[in-house]
Amino acid sequence: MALRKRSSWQVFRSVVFALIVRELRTRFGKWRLGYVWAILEPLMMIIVFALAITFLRGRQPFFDIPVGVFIGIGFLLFQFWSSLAMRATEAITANSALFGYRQVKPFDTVLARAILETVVTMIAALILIWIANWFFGLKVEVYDPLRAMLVFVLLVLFAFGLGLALSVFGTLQSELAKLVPQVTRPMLFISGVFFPLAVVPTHLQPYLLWNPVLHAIEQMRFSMYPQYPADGTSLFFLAQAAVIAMAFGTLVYMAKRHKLVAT
Amino acid sequence: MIRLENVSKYYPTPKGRKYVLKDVNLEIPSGKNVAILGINGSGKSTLLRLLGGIDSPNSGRIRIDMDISWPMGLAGGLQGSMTGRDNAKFVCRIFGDSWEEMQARVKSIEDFADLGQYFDMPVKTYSSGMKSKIKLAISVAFDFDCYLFDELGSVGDALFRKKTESVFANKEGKANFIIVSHNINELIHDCDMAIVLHKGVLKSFESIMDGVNYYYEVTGAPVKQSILKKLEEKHP
Repeated sequence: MALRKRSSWQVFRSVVFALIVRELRTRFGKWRLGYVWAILEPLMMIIVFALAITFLRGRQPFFDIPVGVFIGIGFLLFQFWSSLAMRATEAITANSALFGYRQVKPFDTVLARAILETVVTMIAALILIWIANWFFGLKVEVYDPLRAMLVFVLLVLFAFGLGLALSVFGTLQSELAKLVPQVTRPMLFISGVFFPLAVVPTHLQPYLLWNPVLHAIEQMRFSMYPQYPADGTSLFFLAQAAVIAMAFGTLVYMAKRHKLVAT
Repeated sequence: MIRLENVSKYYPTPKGRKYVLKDVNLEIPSGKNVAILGINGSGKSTLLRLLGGIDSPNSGRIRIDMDISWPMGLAGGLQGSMTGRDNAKFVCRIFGDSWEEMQARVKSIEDFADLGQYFDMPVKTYSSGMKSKIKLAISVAFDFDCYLFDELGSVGDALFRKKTESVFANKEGKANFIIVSHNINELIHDCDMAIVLHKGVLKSFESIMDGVNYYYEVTGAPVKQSILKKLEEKHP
């Protein structure tokens, strides 16, 4: 079995594929219900949060959006970016043994985790919408699919750029890996997962609007329910955040890439 | 052929740069088995990492016009949380195997490594000798022109030595080996030429015995009786 001559693009593709398979095995292969768990975990969290909110303020919807769907959109998008940030921070150190093969670059490990996280979130979202429609009879549909896709793509780019930078910092400064969840978790409460921006006093809104995740969550709700007031948030801000995050991540990676593999 | 042109490699330390290689020019012809000699910390592993392309020189160029393996050493190369089989599959995938090719190659790796049930256990449960075995098995499943061994045999048992002997025999004429080891007797047996690293200076020798002789001279390492006999035959 002689070795084939391959282009660097082919090598890159096969490495990322190999890493995705490797991540799948270690992430979901541990438990027998590994893949089911990926759906069950957000579903349970959403139900718990939705029940808590209903208990606090009754069953009336948030501007036409049923409580469960409102929380679901916010929680899934928040979960996506915070989980990607955390996994990206550890991506390079967790795969350090594999850099013994020259084909495997640190960047590939971050990309593989980002792709996996994105695909898992998309599948979870589809299944959760299906469960909401058939089991809870909520009639969830996407009014403006183009906007919804754009919001998700921009959030993916924002999270990936940030994740790439965090992966570099996390490798060079291992304490950071513990710090990242400490920062991202409290952000659950200021990202608009549990409340619409419209109920926040106007003088406080500008502070919350620095958070790109809030923009993504509100814009996603708007794309599904056109009557939802997403004033203040914008796709443009999210796009800016995505471009800045990608540029920052690439810059940090290019500057430090030689320091990442050296043992 | 492998050619190093003005290659320098250093590590920054609080007391300034520690040079492992300084302005090294070297040519390793194809078809020669090469021993790399040097005391601990002299930069043997760094040299192998440079040749294997997983580290880059601070200045200079390395030209390689053949398929070279990754450096197989005691550290790295295996993901502890994955089983031996998954590690083997991972390597097959990064080399672009189709599904059928992967099945065939993993089978050959399983047979050669001969780890029994351990092949389906996480690598972190392996002994260091077993790790060496599976690393050797994975690498010889691919047809490289040149294999890089970094003290791979030092933790192996007698069976492991037999396996490497069979690899050398099988690959003779098809591939050559660059070996870092402290077992001088085996190096004399397996290699044609020698590279000696000492205090940042690299010297290469056409004959392995000349290299061994120089190695003992500059390092002052104690010479074993069996090697002394061989050396005296060559240098009376």
